[in-house]
Amino acid sequence: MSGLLNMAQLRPLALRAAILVVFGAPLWGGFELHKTLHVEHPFRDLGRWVAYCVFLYILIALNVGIHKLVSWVAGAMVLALTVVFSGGIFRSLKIWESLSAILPWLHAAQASTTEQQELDLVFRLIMIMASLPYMLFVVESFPAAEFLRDVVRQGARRRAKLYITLAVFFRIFQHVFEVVTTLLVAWREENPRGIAPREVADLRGAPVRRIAMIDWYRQALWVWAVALLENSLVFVPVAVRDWQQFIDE
Amino acid sequence: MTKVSELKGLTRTGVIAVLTALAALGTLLIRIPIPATTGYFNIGDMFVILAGLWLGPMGGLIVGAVGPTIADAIGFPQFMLATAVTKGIEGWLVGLVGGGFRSTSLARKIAAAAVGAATIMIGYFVFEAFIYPYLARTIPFFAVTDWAAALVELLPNAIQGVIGAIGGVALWRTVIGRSPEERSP
Repeated sequence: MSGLLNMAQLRPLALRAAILVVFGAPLWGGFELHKTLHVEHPFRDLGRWVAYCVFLYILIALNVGIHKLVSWVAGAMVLALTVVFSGGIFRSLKIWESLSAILPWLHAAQASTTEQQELDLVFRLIMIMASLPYMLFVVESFPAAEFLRDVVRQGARRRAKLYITLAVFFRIFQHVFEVVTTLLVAWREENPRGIAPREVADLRGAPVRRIAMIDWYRQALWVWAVALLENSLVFVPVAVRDWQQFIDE
Repeated sequence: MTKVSELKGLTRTGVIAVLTALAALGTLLIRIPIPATTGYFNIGDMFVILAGLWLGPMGGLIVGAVGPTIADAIGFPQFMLATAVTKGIEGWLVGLVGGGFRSTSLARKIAAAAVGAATIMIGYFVFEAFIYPYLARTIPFFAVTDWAAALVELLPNAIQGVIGAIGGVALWRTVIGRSPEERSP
């Protein structure tokens, strides 16, 4: 971490975890808070979330530095736009309404209005913009090297094995999160169509183009999933070798 | 424990960590909201099914129970219990039917993935229709679903299960399941 503060150095570990849980509490309870959003005064309700998001950004920037925060926010922005546009497109396809005509019990469950659904999408956008950088920050606040030091301190062989397993698990888990932010931005550059508003507007009123959009999603998701899997797995032998060297020493 | 088996154990841990993180990210990142319900489609099941097909029951269980549950912690904490149990069982069953790394039979892997897709539908339905309403009598936190909502969620869960099963088998074929002859150009 390269900011003014250093959450990763805060001890004991339980205190650090508690602080991170408290700061992130609105995210864990986001589903309930979501029910407090009202279409009558959307700016007031959403404004609270924007303020909370800004608070998290300041906290993260103070700890990891502005450059890392910007890269995380860039990834979160790509993701948030993808989700919101997907939701909008899905709604505009009116699949649910068509199904409701055949299956009445589906219609009965549609309690929310169009305005509420739109508000819901904006809420999700803010939620992702807040939660992804914070999640990456939480992961980075528990460096695998810390487990390593604990392994050295531990005398008991059985416990040391457990720590090593946890440390390898956590280090590789962290690596995947590092890969994903880079891949999200690369994916956005490779596949601009799904999240460029001009392109989405072109699809209005053209059923064939809508089918083409579904095919676009299939291809884009597939490329993303395979790239993520390959870029993540390639790190496993490297990490295992490094840990083995450490154990041997 | 010999050095070789230690290395194997660590490598296996590493692969489980990768798939757990991917299951979390697949669930968290690609969320396509369903307008009529509070739910969403996601591609996390692809990685849970891949874990079962590749690593067997224990790997599938860990990836299924931990990965998507981490994702639910952000924004959907009420569903963490249902997700941990349902997806844990999903990964375990896929691993059990698919035979893990010992089996390379495509038919067996497809059957395992189909079992996984059915598990998602049945598991969430049982939780939403029976377990959550029962728990909600004493713990209001779980008062998020009922019979009607469980029925509505059946359809999206079925679609998600099928997409997850197809994606999981396709990923397994692409990354692991091809023979050396097929892999060579």
